[in-house]
Amino acid sequence: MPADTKMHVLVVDDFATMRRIITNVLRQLGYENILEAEDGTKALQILETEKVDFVITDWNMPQMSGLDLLKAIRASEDKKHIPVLMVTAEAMQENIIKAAQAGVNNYIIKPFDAKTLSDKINKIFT
Amino acid sequence: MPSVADPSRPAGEPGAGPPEAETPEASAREADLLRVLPREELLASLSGLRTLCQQYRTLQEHIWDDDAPDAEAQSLLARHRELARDETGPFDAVSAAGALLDYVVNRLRTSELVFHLRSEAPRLPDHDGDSNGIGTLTRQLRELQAPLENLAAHVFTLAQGAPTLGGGRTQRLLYPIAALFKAIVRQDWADADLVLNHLNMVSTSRENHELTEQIGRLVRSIYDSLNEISRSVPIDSLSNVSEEIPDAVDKLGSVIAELEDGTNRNLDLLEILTAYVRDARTMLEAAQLALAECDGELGALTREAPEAAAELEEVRGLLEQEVMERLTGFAEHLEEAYHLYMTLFANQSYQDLTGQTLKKVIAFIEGLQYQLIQVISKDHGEPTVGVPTNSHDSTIQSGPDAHNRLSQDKVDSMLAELGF
Repeated sequence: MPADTKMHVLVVDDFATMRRIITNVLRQLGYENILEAEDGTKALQILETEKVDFVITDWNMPQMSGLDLLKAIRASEDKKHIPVLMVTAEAMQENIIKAAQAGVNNYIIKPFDAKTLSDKINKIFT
Repeated sequence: MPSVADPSRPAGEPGAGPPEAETPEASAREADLLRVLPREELLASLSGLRTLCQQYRTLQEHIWDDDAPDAEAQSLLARHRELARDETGPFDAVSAAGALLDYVVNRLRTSELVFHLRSEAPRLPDHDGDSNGIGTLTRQLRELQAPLENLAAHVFTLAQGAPTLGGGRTQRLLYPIAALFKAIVRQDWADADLVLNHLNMVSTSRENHELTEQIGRLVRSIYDSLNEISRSVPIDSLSNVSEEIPDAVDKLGSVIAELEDGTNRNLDLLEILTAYVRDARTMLEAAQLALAECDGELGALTREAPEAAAELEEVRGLLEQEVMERLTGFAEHLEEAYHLYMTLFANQSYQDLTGQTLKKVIAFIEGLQYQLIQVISKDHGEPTVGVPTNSHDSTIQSGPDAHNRLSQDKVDSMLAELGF
């Protein structure tokens, strides 16, 4: 079952071009409510002030990494339920295990294709 | 060390036998010595010094034995410090430090300062940095620092544990010695010369002079060895390489910027193209609706004018085959193009991957440059090129590792095993 395209998606990546790519792919998939943050700290600020149903985050970012953002979300009583998808160049076994242990909902390695992103989102929300 | 009678047979001790005949000069020397130091105190000091020497021998063995537990060495050191406080008297820690330094000097001369640079011209360092002259040199310089730092630390410890002598002269001597070794570790020869001059000024006794001379010889030996190494290194060619590195890094930086720029230009075009596709979709849907309405109109006309049914049916057939089917085919191509554009969008994420990899390469090159500058500047003054500032950027350091990367399929299998 496809995920609700009305949901509010937060895209977190320090690389503006990457945010643009993910946002564009999401728009092509029908998602219109998309927010952006350049690192984990900014993402947490948005999570405090905006409605967010789903987080897509990179791993390597200044200030606060995607892994730390994930841990912060899982540690928060009112946000721990928000699904988190990692889209990252970190494709090493130990990192995937770390992300899984921290409570990631799924994991995509860069470079990715639109179908993989769509499939993973649908799988998370099925 | 003063020349004294056999401590196992002190003069005047019962059973020691008749004393030898003494010359007036010898009696005067002994009387002079006894005025400075009572006989019992002298014997206790000799005994203390012997114990100290034994402690030092054991300590030295442990200091230089890599397998010895630190705690044991620390314990010996603590015992020495206690002894130094209680028993040394005039045979203070300076003498003991001299013994330790002498040992270390010999040790360094015989092993640590033997540099095996290859006779042939050294090649540029490869990735492991250890299979050629420069790699060996770097390793040997690092190996040299460890014993020197160790030595400086022990001199400091001695200074802390040493008894005061002549209004704190021992400390005044030992602290500069430690400062000297720290200067050697830093290879700051100007500072080392200053400290040596200071040591010469504060050294007044014969023992202290001998000690400072020993240290001076050690410094000279290390200095000469490092100069010799420096002369063996092709500094000119290393300098050239070192100066070319920033240019190479700049070029790589330009490649990253151009890649990003190109990616953004592609994204601009893709956004325009996908907007076209969306507009074309809308127009197509409108055309299909209009055609359906035409079809309905033709049906109505056929019912109103049955005599024209055959002609109207022919028009409907033409509309069906020539327009509707082609519009349907166009719609399929449009969807295909739309999916291809989406794939192109996602494919631009390669840029992030290549950018991160190039940044990692830059960090590696800058690290190499830093090491080269260190080698060159050791004996050739200040570096002539800038020291990299972002080599320790954790974001860059933890970038993609091409050798250990998993494919998305493997990641999915792993996630499945983890219960995802």
